[in-house]
Amino acid sequence: MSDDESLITPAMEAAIGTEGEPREVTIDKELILRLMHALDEDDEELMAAVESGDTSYPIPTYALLTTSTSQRQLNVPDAPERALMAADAWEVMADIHLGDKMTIVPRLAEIQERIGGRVGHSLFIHHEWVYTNQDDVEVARVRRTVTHFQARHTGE
Amino acid sequence: MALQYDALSEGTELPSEQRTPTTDQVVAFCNATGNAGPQFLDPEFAKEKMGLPGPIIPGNMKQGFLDQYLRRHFGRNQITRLQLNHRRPDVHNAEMTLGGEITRTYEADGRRMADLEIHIDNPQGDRSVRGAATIAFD
Repeated sequence: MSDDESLITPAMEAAIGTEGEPREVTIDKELILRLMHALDEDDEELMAAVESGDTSYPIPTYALLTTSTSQRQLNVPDAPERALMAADAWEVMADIHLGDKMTIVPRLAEIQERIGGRVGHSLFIHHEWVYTNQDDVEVARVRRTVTHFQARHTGE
Repeated sequence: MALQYDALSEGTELPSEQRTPTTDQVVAFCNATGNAGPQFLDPEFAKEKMGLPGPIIPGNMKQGFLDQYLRRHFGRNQITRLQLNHRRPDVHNAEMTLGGEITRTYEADGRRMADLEIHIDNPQGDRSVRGAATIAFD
């Protein structure tokens, strides 16, 4: 493929705007504790609340990262295999608690093409997820941009 | 002690903070989040396949560090927006410097709010993450 040939295929264009199946996940105490350990969390009040299983204590937004296995990106046909996260935007509208049952709806929002930069000719694929809790309250919206590229990264 | 809204104005800088995530921490993070991409854990894959300087810190892990950084300064006030642009990879066992600066204070929907620019710099002084956040004060 020449460098000036578009990487956006008809199958890719057809996928833009599609929503995936909703996934349900529970904010799990053990996963939150493991994540807090990984991040060297030193907020003693927060640690005590989570260790005691307090379901009324608001926990950090990063708790949603434990749902990553359910917050999978939708498959984008024909996208180059090499990929790195380029941007993440989190909008949080409500508190998050241990035991919350979240419904996550994924969507392939947009695809842009770029020539040049650290990874050469590449695609910027924008994924979105909406998190809604057991009370039907929209808790968060996440928009992630993933760069897909053919050449190796420059390492910089 | 958490910063109070009345003490903030455009240009107020947050004290910087250093974090040096180890390989063990990255492994623990990947296990807790179920995100075990080989670019985070496999030196050969990261270097040979991806062209990276080595296994890198997951972008979401850096998000977690910035979330902590903001809570250290703003306590229980709610982080309503967190946007990150990942400009350069950060590798394991390298010091990262987290920082931030108030860009605007205002009221919206009856709440007092502050917008910030936030960032992470690598040991060479290059900005690896550039982002923005909004804090809603109770």
